[in-house]
Amino acid sequence: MEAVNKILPEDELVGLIKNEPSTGIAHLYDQYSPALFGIITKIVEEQETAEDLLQEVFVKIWKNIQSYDKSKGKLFTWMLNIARNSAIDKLRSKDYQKSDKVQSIDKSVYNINKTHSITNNIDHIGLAKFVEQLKPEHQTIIDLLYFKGYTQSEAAEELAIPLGTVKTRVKIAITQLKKITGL
Amino acid sequence: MNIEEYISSGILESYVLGITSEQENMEIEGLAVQYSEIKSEIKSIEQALNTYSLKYSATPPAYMKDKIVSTIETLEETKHRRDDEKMVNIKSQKSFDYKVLLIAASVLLLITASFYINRLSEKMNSLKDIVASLAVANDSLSQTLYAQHSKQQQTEKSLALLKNPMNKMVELKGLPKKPDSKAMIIWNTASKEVYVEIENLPPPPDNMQYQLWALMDGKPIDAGMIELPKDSSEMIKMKSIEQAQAFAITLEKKGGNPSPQGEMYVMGSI
Repeated sequence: MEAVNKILPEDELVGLIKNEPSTGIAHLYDQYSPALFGIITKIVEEQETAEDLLQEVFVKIWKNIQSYDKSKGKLFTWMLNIARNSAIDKLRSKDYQKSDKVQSIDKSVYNINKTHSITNNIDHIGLAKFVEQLKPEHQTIIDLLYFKGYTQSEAAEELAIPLGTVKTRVKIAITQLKKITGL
Repeated sequence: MNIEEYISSGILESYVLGITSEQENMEIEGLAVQYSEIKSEIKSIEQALNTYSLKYSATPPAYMKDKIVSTIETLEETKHRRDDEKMVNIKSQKSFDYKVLLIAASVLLLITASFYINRLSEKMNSLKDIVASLAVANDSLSQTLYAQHSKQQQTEKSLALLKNPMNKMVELKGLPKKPDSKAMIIWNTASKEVYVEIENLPPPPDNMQYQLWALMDGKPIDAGMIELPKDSSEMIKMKSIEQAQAFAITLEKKGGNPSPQGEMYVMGSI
């Protein structure tokens, strides 16, 4: 494996991508590709599609870095949203749904614990363990809404619970997450 | 409004999860500009979900890094080449001054004409022809001048808007779903006039139209329908707006809606 570049703060990374795009993207890749690839594979599952999407996401970041606005949020949040939206768009696209590669959405949702994840080199291992403290029902609700792009009513139907319960679960799940990650 | 109640209502969680409606999004983004508590609550929810996402971290295959970096290199090269070509085009356009050429041609025709009048009075007929062609040249010259004049007026109007110190410029940036969309608002805080310049928005479907909104205390105020101009650098005059904290553009049915229903493309706070 190649040597990992020094970890750069977000501001420096943004500047580097603007001024020396390929060096900047290489740094960005070292720092964030596991997180972005993780989200993508979580959503689309199929390896080849996930790799294409990862490339698409880096191209989008390079192309749109001028419109990233620090005052509106962290670079990491911005990139996660690009990755998540690209993957959900792909998941919903007709040609992807038609292909045999894709397993049913319901099935993939419940595969949350079947991780093909090799936890990455940044210090996330500890955090990942904390996240495991979240009850499975709370993980499932976040996975459906955040990673699968379900609406709350779709989630209610999928889990056969009332809409009100979905709303409460979302609120509790995120409050728990905030507690866990605020350590 | 009661901020604590709003925060505990659960709507901000839904917003960060991306499951709120376009109208709710606008309200929340407007309120986030106004109330720092709401902004920091959104940030902490985002942070929580970021951390949750890391649970799924998965290292991509080693060959992906080279593949991606070399794709970016290729795209950069293509972009530079295109920029260079554009520069060359602009330069060659500038050095070719059509007006001067037309004037020179007219002057030349005049000289030739007077030469003929003095020296070859017997060739009156051909002289008439020359005068006629001179008139044609003059016509096209004045047409060119007229076209340039109206274009110049347009530019001067835009420049005056930009120079006026009462004018606030607001850059509307693409939302994560439409990151390359872009528009610019000029809002005169004295006369309350609003102008919009569309820098990049996808052409709307036939039955749809872009609508501009001003946001005040989270409530969207209709600022009019946008008639996309042929020339993208044109400033379009919109409805006057008394008070605003932010502006946004959504795609609505033709003729617009009293409150935003369609997808939001760009947004920017003042």
